[in-house]
Amino acid sequence: MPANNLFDEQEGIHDDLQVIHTCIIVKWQPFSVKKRYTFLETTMKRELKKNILFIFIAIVLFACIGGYLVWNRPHQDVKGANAIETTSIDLYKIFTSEPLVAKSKYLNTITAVSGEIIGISLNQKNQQILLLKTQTSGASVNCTMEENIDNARAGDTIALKGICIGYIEGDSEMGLPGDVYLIRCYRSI
Amino acid sequence: MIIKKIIFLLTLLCAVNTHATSQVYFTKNGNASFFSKTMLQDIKADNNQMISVLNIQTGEVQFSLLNNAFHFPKAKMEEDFNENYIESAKYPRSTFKGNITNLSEINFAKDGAYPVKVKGDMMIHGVEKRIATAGTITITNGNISAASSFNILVKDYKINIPTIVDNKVAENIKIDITCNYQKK
Repeated sequence: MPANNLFDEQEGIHDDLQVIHTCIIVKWQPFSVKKRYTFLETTMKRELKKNILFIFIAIVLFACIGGYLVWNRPHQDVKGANAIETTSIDLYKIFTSEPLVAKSKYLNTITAVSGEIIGISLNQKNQQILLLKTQTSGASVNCTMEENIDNARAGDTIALKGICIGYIEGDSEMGLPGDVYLIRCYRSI
Repeated sequence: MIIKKIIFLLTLLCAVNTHATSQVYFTKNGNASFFSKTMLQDIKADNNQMISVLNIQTGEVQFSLLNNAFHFPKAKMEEDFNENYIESAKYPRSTFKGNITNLSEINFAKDGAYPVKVKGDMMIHGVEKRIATAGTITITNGNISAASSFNILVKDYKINIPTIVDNKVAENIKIDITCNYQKK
């Protein structure tokens, strides 16, 4: 019985198929095996199409959620992160004497710097700028604060934590030395 | 012999004089921001760590900033900007070196707002381009500040915007510069 064997193979796949099987046996007995097979095939194709559509919708949905999460990912947390510790004098020295070593160690990394404040000002966004002392006159580790420190005074020694973005050369012809910059800084405890 | 001495003294005097009147102003926290506007999305980024030097005697003016210091509203924008567009690991700095061409029209001793014309070389993404732009120098109680606003085309600096985000990033980027100078 090739026809029954064929249906036996499909048994247990889906309840609907079971019903269709019965229908064919009872009502469409006169149909040839080939015709019954074609009917079943069409139904299965419809099922398969449904499944593909479902998978497709699921993928699109996941992609949308994933995209949304990546797009709205928050900025790097500086305040709570661990930092590489150094002093303003050492940080400036390594950036000016061994730039490649300095870049591999500190560039775009959360760095905690301690040093003496030699200048306090506000930038155009009203963020506090603290300049930390280096051994080069007129040069400093230039820290843009994310949270202003109200009681900061020139001469104080302070520890700050921020993202080190590197060194900008000044202008040697005009006698202006460059600075090493830290952005999004917080007081380091 | 006496003539030689006089010439030497005169030269020395000139040198001292030049040095005494040499007027260099600078800032290490100038602001540069850019703005990209398209139908889909407006992007604004800020950099408050720009070094600028202005020599009011010669009219020389310079700007230099680190590309990775641009701060965007979203972390993903910042990442795309640094990794895909400006490639800040490869080209860490953007610079401008130029001259004020109408220096004689500015009276640095008198308060006021003076329109300035600047010509020079802009270097972005490793590509140097000669540009001319206009700005304003404002003197308030002897303090000098400068502002300029101009547009650049991203394709002029070989910045590739992938076609998938083509309609999110404008081809024409507006750049604003403001600096409050202090005397060196």
